[in-house]
Amino acid sequence: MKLLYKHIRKDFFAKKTMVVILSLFVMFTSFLYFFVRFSVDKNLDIYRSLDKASLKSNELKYLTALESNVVLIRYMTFGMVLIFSLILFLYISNTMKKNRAKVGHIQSLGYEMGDIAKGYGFVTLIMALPSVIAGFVAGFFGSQILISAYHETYSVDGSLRGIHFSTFMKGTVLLAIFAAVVAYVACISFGNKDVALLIKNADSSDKKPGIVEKFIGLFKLKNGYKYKLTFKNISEILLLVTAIVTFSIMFVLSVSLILSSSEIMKSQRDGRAYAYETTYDECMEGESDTESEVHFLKFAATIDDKGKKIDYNIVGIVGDNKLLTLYDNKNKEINLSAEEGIVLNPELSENYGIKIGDELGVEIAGNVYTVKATAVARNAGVKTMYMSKEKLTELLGLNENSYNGVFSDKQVDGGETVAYEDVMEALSRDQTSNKTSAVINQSIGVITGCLLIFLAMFIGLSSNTESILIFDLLGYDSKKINRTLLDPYMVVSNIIFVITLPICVFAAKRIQISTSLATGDYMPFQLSVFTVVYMFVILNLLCFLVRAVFTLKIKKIMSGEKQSEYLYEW
Amino acid sequence: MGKVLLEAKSVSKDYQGRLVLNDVNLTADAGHFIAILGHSGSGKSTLLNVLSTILTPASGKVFYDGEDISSFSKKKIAELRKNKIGFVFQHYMLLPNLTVRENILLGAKDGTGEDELKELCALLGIEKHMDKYPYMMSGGEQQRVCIARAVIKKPEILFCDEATGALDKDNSINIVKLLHEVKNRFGTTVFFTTHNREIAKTADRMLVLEDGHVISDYVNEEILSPDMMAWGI
Repeated sequence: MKLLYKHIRKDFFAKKTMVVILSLFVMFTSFLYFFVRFSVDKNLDIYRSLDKASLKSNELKYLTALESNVVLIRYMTFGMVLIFSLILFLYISNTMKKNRAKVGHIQSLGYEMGDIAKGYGFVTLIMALPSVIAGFVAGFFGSQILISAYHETYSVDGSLRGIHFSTFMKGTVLLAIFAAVVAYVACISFGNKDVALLIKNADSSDKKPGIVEKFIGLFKLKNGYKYKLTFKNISEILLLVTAIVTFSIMFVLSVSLILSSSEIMKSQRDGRAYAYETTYDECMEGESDTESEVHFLKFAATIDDKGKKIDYNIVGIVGDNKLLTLYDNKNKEINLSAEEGIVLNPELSENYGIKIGDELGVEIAGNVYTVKATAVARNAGVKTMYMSKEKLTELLGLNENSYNGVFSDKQVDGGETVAYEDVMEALSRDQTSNKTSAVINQSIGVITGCLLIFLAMFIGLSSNTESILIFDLLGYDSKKINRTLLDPYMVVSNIIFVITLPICVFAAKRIQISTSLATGDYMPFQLSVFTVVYMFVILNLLCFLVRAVFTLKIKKIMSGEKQSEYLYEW
Repeated sequence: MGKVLLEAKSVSKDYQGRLVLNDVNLTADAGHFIAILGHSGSGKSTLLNVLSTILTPASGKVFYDGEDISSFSKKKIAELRKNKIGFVFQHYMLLPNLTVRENILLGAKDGTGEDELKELCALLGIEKHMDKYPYMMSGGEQQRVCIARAVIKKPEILFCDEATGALDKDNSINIVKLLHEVKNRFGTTVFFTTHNREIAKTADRMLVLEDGHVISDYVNEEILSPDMMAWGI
């Protein structure tokens, strides 16, 4: 058995490109997990053990952020492990398929499929263990970024770095063992086939024409044979689709998360010409608005969205004031005085699906009012929706001149005044922590996606080595060979990218909304033509990189005149 | 007549509707060298594969030492291959990343000693190549390694599928001689498929296959010495 394992180990690690990519994938997964958990575990224990009533508001927010990050990283790790499992499974199945003669031969020596599977499980474990340890170490050091971000955002001192033993085991041993089990299952699922058929490479389960050939045949392409030669089996295409979809989702999500902060900051500046916001505990009655002061009414409100309670603020203000102007998504000014109902914050429409025209139950000061949503203001204040002041006072039965807040360009007497610059600074800090974690996670996701594409394409191109060498022996020049056997991969990768893009954008948007709901931070989804162009460029750069690496590999075989040796080797 | 080691009863096998073996019946005594002769596509390799447990027949049964192989669990079949059956393939099928020594020991039973290994390699004339990798050796040498790997376990039965098919005359003669030597020294039953009548003439018994039928099965009255083989017939 030792010799069988030795052979499998040498064979597995001889494919250096694959091993490096798979190792990096495991390392990134482990890093992501530990990067968050190192900054969360110990602190969460401390804050959970404290009486919530004794916590200050910043500490409560910190506790919520820690809990949100635990949820976030759970989803993220689950996603990464799921994708890695799929990739590893497809890679090992493909390896088994390509080496079926060898598999059959080893079985003829008296070894069982289970022995080969154990061998693959074992080498996967050998590959995964150093990777998870590297991820653990990197996560330990990386977690300082997150701890600093917490400190900056929530002004909490003495955040600790540490993890539970169970967390350590999950992110290292369990992850490595899981990878080994996936490799084992991939081998076992190859099935017990007749050894003689495996040896002769005549596995009857490979129907001809296969699914891919039939599908290509449907299009009646002039050069359809190129695609038939290039895409021999469905698992290679599935691998490529998985890689491109992962890359696209991660890229869109990552760019969107990065841009969402600046979008929020921008939206909170737009339409605002006041420097101070003053609020009073009681409602007051007074003079009408001037050019430098605008009175408003602000109440805590709870929206009942089909049974789901959403805590929000409602602000009543006159439409034609000079200090706050609301804009809709088309950047058109919203005339609040003309609005019959509520002007929504975009968070309500994007994250909660509330549409213009929906009747909402809004609870203000213990009374529930039914109000229609009539517009969405892209620059609405954080957790704030609006109504015309006239309508709001009417709804609440208040005097038309009532107010409990003032927007002004100079400080006013009484009440509690905050400078708008201070509000913006606090908002900027608020954007930091959860987004730091999310953006780092997503960025690693993008790198992982790139690695996946590299891996998928390299596996696909490698399966064409035999055809390339046969073409070379038949006297075809390298340009013709590349056009016939390599270029279809580039074409198909781009087609897959274009076809799956809308699905990926949709998935990325859903993930961002879920993240936003889980963390309580509104993160507007951002997508621009530039994002798509960048993705397209990166994908094609990757394609050309893989093509170049692969061409070098082939040139090495050809320059050593080892074509027949390679083809003869089983 | 010796002990019956292998028996096939009404064995048939088809590939995608084409009948490759048709109701084949045979028995094989221990310690015999049996040649299966036939043209390409006659079914000789299929028969060898069915007899050697690496191909499941569509119908019929194969008995090894009186036991029905189809009733064997996968584990028991693996044990049978590990301990009692050896294979020699036309294209050697050595693992390229293991040395000659390791390739041979891959086919050995647990606890095989260095002396046994050396003795066998001396018999096969490969003792100087033990630390080489397969790509460093000629075809004839690789085939001898393949035989060593099959024989190191001292199998009761050795299946050779066109074992000389990729070799020149001199190497073929040497391989056939070695296989006879193995049979004589270890009492191994040897099945040898070939389309070369001269090689078949060196066997104790010759089965001739045509279109999946055994059309003739006879014991050689005058066994030809491998050295006397006329090539190319």
